[in-house]
Amino acid sequence: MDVQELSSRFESWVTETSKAVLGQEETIEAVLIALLANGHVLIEGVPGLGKTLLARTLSRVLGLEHKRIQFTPDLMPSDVSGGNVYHQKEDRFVFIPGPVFTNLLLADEINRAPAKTQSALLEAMQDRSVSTDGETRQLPDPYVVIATQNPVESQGTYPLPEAQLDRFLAKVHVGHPTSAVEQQLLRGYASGFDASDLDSAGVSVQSDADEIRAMKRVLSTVQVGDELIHYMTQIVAQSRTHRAVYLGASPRGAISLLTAGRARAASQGRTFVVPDDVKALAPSVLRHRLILHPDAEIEGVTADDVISEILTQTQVPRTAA
Amino acid sequence: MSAWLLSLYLLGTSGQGVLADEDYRFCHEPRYPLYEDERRWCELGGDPNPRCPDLPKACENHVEPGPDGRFSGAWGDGDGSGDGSGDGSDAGDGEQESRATPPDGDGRKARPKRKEIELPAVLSPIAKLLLIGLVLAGIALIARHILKNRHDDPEDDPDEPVRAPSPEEAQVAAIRAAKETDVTRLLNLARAEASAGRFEAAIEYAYAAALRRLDGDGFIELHHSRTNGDYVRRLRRGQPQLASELRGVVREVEGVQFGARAATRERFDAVLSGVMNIVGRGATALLLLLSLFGLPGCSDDAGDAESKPKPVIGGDTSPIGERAVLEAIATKSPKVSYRIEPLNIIAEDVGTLIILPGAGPKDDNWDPILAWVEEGGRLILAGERPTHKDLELFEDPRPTPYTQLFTGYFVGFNDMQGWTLKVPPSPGLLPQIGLTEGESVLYRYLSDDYSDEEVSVYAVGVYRGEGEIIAFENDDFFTNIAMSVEDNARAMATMAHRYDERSVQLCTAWTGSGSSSPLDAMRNADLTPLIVQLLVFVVLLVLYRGIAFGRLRDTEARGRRASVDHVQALGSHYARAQATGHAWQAYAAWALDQIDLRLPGQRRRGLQATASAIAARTQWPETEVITLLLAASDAANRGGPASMRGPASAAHADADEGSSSLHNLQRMAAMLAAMGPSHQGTKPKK
Repeated sequence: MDVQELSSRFESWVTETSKAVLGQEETIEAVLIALLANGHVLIEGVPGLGKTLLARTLSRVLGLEHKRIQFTPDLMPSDVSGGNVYHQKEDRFVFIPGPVFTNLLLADEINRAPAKTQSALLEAMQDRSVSTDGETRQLPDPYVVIATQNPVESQGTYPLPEAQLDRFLAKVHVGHPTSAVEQQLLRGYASGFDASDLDSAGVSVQSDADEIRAMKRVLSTVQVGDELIHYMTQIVAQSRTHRAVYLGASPRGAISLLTAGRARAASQGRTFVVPDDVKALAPSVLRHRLILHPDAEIEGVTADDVISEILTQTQVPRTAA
Repeated sequence: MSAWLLSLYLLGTSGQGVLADEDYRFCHEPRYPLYEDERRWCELGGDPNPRCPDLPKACENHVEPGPDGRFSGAWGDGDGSGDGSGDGSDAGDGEQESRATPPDGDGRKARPKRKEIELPAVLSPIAKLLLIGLVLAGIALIARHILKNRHDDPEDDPDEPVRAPSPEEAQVAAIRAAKETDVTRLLNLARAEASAGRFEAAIEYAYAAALRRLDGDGFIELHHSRTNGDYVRRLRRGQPQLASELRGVVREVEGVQFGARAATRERFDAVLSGVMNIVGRGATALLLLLSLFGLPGCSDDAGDAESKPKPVIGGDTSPIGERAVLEAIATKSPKVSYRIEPLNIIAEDVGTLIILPGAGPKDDNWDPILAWVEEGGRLILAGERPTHKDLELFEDPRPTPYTQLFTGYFVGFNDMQGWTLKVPPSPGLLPQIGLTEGESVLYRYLSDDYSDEEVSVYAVGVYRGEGEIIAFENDDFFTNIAMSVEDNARAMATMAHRYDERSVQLCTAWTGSGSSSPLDAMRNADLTPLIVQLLVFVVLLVLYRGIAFGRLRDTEARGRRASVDHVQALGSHYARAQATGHAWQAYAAWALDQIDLRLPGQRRRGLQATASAIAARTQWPETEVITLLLAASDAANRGGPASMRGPASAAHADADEGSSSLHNLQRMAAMLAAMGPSHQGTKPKK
């Protein structure tokens, strides 16, 4: 597989997913880029915008095995990772894998579970393995977590730990659709579309795990020049020194920017990363990694504002301006 | 169309048409005030006067001008609308303003006199000295900077050995050159680099030229933080075709810049071709835009010229104005206008020139005009008295009491036989222009016996080459009020008319005030020395700064608010959010840091030891100190990132602890004040 083939395959993913998820092309692309870059995605949006539908559709389009965990306050870590259960017949403990053992894990409303349970995902997300009772088990490849959370509802929710936030490659906002898209949506439902039945939207499988693994290997051939690396490090460094930021992006954030940049370049049929890739991805890759000072939060400054200001101040490599 | 034909018919019969417009207020307002000079026409129009119906009443109405020679108060028809020019701005001073008065309203508003600022005589030398001193100081300052700049620049030091630039220096030079903003120079640089085999630099220059062109045309705005994708997306919103072309160029350029693709001649040619398309398209769009702007300006000429007469632009509607003259001429010669251009070059399409007093060439250079006459032009001197030997007019001192004009046989006047033409009495001219014997084209008799020898010539004409020169005794005939009399308007139209449809131009004192080029305008306005000085200054500044001039591209730095504003805004936000607890958390963390600074190392020994030290230092009760420290420590621990707090805890905490937090905050501030300043940073005394 080469970059051009990857690009055409990527386009087919977007087209196919857009059959069920209307008017969210940018979100779909952002999520797919994160998936291609072997990263996890946190989708944030108010209820009813199709976050879960997006995750389910992606699993169908990508042809991956998927499982869903509905996070609740009483969810236990073993409910996520699995655990050893005594097998009376065999007189020994047998490991029962949790839902985390899958290709695509949909962690729905992840902030409804306490930090203890959320932390059960840390090792799975970072090392793609689960350790229980001294034994480490590898997760299947590819392994992707798509988590959703609702930013408005705060009662009975637990903010995600910084360590876990940092493990998400991208945080994507899902916004309200436009009026035209909403009309199209209603027409689809009027003509028989059922969100629980993706066949009704004609969503078909476009790939499989082997193909995705091959595509990931292609990413390693995408070139990243020194100027681009300098550009990325400048952006990340400024996120640490910005006056409104209490805690800036980690080196993992910089690495995420690099890998996501490669994925975006390949998705557009390029064998090299350009500044536009970095600039376009910086908000989704960095926004959840920044912790703002309380006074900045009170003044209404958001992480997106900070990133936008940083991008405006940072000189693009080889600019003619 | 029909109105114009009607006016033409009326003009043909009585001349009523041109004065039917309400703008000629002296014809339509019975109480219109007239100067004595204008009253000379009262008897000539007759009573009733169908061409100017209310002029007879205005003539009966003796409104006296004020002591300053101006009319004051309302003199209209009682609705207060007619006082416009009567109050305080008349052509006053007891005599009529010259014809040079610019048209304004009905023309009776005179130009305000220029107020001269008179400085005491003693100040004049001081002012001169100050001015000279300032200029010298400025020149010295600039010269000093230039010398300093050159002295500081090692490249200009002749003693410095010339060495080849290092690769890094060459790269810096390339970056500097990349900031070149002129599109043509960038393209030239690109071609030069390409011819030298440096295709990567050539591609960058070519691409920079495209961006600069798009920036200059206003399609994009260059900024150091914008990517090529940003520019393409910006173009896609308004110029999708251009966006597509730029995208093609960008793909090639980025392949070289970031993709390690080889910069070859073929790739450069491809980029340059795309860039030239963009650059050319931008210019085309600009031309198209200019053409569109130009269309409305041409629409008067391009309109239905046959269906309506060309409107006469401007003109003074007062009794001594000339708008009615122009309108009368326009009834037979549609191409009639004021002449703005100077008289040194007269176009071939000009058929008749009417020169009012003071409108002749200022330098008495009448040769171009005479040459034009010889080629078939008709020159009418309406009271203008040239000093040129071929145009000198000889006055006849004999006055005549009569107003009736008789027409002689001359081109343009042959058709007027039997018409009734009248002007107020005045001396006459000898039938001679220069040394040439002329024809008496308009004349009056000096006595009742109508003897041919006893005539006073009002206008005389001579043939010169293929053209004619007609000189009038004065400009009385070329006034609005003259058009109200008998067949004067018909005569005016006939006299100026040329059958070859060439234009008629009326020259006033404004003639020649326009300029054919910016350089002429500069010279006419006596601005040449100033502009030259400014240019010299700019050149010196360029030499000094060594940068191109242009619009500042950097974004304006956002002004930092005053600290007190920031604190007040923050405080109001805290108060509005009922976040006293939050404020206490932040303050507690800061206060504990302050305690660390003032009692270095104490907190490591524990809370009890710290409290004891503070109590000893402040003389506060130790129990109160330890309570306060515990509260501060607890608050500081709760003041971390959101994830360190329990679910939705802050709001509840604030509601419960609001009053105690404020109390703690005040007590902590008092305790810090009692502890005194920090000694950190001062040298310990040995």
